[in-house]
Amino acid sequence: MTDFCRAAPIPQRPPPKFSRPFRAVLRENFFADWTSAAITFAVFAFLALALPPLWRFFIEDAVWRAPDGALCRAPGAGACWAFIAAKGPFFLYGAYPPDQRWRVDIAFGLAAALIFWLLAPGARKGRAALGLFVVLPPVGFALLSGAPALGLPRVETTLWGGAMVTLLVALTGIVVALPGGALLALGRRSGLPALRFFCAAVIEFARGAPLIAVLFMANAMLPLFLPADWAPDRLLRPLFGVALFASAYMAEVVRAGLNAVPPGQSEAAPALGFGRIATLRFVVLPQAFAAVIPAIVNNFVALFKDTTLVAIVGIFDFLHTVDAARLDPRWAGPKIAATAYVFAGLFYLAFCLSMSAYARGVERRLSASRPPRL
Amino acid sequence: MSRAVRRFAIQAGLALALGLLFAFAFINARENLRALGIPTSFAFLHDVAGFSINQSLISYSPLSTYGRALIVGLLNTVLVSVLSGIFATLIGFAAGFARLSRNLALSRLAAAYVGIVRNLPLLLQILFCYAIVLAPLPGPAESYHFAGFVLNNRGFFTPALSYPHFWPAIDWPLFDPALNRFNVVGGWRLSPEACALILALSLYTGAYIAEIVRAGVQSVARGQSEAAAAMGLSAAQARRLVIRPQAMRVILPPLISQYLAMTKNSSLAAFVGFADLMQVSGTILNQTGAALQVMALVMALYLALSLATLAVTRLYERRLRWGGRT
Amino acid sequence: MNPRRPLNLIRFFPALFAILLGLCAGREAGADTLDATRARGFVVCGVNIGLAGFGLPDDRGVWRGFDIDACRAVAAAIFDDPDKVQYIPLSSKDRFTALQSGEVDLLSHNTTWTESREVGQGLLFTAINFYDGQGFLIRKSLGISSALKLGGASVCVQQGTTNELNLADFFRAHGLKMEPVVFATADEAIRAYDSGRCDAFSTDASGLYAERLKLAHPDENVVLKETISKEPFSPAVRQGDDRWFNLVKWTQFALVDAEELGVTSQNVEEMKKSPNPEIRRLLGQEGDYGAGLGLTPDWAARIIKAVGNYGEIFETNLGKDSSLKIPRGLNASWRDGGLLYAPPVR
Repeated sequence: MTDFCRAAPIPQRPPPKFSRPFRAVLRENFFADWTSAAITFAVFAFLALALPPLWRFFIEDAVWRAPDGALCRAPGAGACWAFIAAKGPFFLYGAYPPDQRWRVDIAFGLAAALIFWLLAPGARKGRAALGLFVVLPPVGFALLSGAPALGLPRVETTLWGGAMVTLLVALTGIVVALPGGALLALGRRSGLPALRFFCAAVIEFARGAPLIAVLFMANAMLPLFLPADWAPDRLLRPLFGVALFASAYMAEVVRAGLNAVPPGQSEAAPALGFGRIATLRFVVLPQAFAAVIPAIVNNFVALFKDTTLVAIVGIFDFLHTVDAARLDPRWAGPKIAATAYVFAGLFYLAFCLSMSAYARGVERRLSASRPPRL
Repeated sequence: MSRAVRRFAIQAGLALALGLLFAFAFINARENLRALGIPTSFAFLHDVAGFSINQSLISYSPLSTYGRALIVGLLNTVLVSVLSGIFATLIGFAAGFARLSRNLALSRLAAAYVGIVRNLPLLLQILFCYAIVLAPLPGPAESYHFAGFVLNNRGFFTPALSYPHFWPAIDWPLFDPALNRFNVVGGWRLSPEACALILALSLYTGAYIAEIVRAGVQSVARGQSEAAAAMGLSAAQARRLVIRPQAMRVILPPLISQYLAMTKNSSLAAFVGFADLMQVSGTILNQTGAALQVMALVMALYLALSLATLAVTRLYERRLRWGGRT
Repeated sequence: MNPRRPLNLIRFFPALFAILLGLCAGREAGADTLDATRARGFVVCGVNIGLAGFGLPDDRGVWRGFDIDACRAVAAAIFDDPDKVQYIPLSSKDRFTALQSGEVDLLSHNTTWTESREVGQGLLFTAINFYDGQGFLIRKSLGISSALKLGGASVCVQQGTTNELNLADFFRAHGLKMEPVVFATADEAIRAYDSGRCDAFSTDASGLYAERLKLAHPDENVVLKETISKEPFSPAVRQGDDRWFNLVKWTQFALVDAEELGVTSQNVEEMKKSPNPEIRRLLGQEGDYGAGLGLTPDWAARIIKAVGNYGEIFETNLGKDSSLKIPRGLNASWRDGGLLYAPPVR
């Protein structure tokens, strides 16, 4: 009866080869018509004019090794990479005592490991999240700031600086904003008017003002609102401001995610015997977060860029450290500014581009697993 | 316990906790302010400011009041935001269409611009514009001139209208050592700090707008332009009558939030010494010590700016909303 | 969605708050600063972010300068150890808030004593330790010898300082025009001046000498002779703690008296045997002048031994033994034609 059916499926065939001669590709992409040809010509002329001087300045004529700024000040000298090499440790750790810097390495190594664990596909996320959000803050704080009881001498936050402060501010933002933003977003959707109003007020307040104003306020007004003998640390105040700001922005992202979860999901879960927390934890939040992972990561890219603003309250983050170092009379010269800013630019590009690339990768995975929208 | 009672109890508890927190903050603030002798009224706004501001749209001197100084700062923020908004829109639409271009060289160039600019901190770009792009400008004696405009390291000077004898006349900027050996005289001036800020803000926001434009145009289904062609519309007509109205609906909401973000980003002026709202209020706070009042005013003014931007763009949005779907 | 769900999560709020509050350094800045300082074990001193001669960390991160020695003198008086100080670098913009909020015990930050700062911001200035005046740094190539010739010029200046206000006053008083270019830090201002953005850079004369060192070509710039303002520098403390106020004030007076009486860090031990009653009182050999300050009788001897007298401090940090080479001028003792004059210890 089933003779006319095949017993085994036909093996998959490779997609038809779609190849065109190189000349055709070239013509289509660069010389489709006269306008296109003119544009191509203009673009390549621009690159031919712009790139060689850049190459000469940053590579060929650059000063790679020098004891001080004398060689870099010589006429015809290009970028002064020797300056970056000489100031490298300062850019990374600020004035953190050199014999204690291993503590910084350990703290950020731990954070990096936890983040990779959390992002790695297929791993047990629960423990990684527990480590990042619960264990890391006190451990990292004890490592960086010191715990005399454990034999780690105290290092005042006034000595902290450079990349470690940038990463600290960014990490604080991330670690506080994910749970904080989720709480604010849930509160804003809550059926309790008082809670809804409170969360909406916090979110709109932080989103309505520039981050600089929030930082300025945290710096000038936090001490006023606390008893005179509490006086929060100078670094803690901008951290508080950044955490508030990041949570508010994160709340809006999470809210979009919550809206994307079909209402049937949270109706079906109680019908299956899930409690309120279980519904939230196993049904709603995973779907909500998964839908907005790219937006979350993009939010973190923005946060990472915004860490530079803590300089307004006198914190020496990476950019501020680089900016301040270029005034050192031993190195100061006409080429130092360009060198310093390009170096700082590479640092931020490296971090932001890899985060953006991750977001795009997730986006691609998500859109592949989702039915196409019509 | 019934559900209603529980809901009420929970909310009352929350309100009580918040009330206690606010009371705690309020009592502390009152104690601290009294102990420090910091003024708590807005009377200081009528006091003489004493400091000068180098870029102002309204007449201002050190004898003006703090209140007026604040208005000068607000207007400077508006000035920078509006100019950056215009340039950013132009750059953004140009780069957005360039990215959609079928010419690979052009679209890759636009993609490189968008990719780099979006992944660098705005502050770095502002400092870069100020220190690298504008620093090589010549002094006033060797200014660049073109069509009555003057550019040097003291700023960008444009001809301005003046009314010397009740009659409008053009006030040309010029450098005359007999009048002033240090600076260009006459015309209307945009300080280098403002130029750096506007340049960086336009490039930065432009990159974001480019992405919005690209997404907007791509959101219009391909069938739309094919259908337009089938109905005999020319390519230009199809763009104007079919693609643009549909794309603009998608583009507008994120575009508005970009304008809002840009207005807030203009507060980075403080880093290059441009007297915007944030910088002026910082000076006032420093001189008067009235932290609470000044910060409250700044927050309120930025909120007002955001609302004003929203209102203006809503007007345009309403024009787009003809017929059907929104 | 179930309306009560979020509140189960709210339970975590107190934990979050507890972490935040735990990070707040419990720094007791209550009514009695001296007791709090003793309990803590060091003085917290607000200083300039970096001004050569007044306060700047050296290559190994050790703070040095005139304002730093003022802090060290206070620490020596209390703990007999000038290194028991924690330095908090503060920008001009937020130095007063830091003192008001109790973050620092003492502001030693080349700060000009003015009426409004003392009366309006809840501060008390203790005693003038440096007489300065605002001046101008210009390029030699301008060929100008007087600030009155600067009409129409652009002047770089630091935000939130008396300099910003004096500058406006000076040009207004002489009916001249001027474009102020205001920056948050002195570094940014001097950088802008160096790049040609301004024709002149203005700050306190002492600062001009220090900032000139940062220029690409220091020799091509000169400091104009005239000064346009009075800038008396003084440490400042919070209002409401008279004992602490007196301690800081008399630390400064002891430094000046020591110079006048010829007591130096080198000879302080021999001087204790001096027959001169003024010296004996200062060094705690006769009478007890420390008790009222909450200190032991030899408080001044400890200070001088640790940091030297006023003259020594001046010359090492600002004067002929430093890179700044600022002349004593008004900051000489009144016996030498200067303005330094301290009430006697008796």
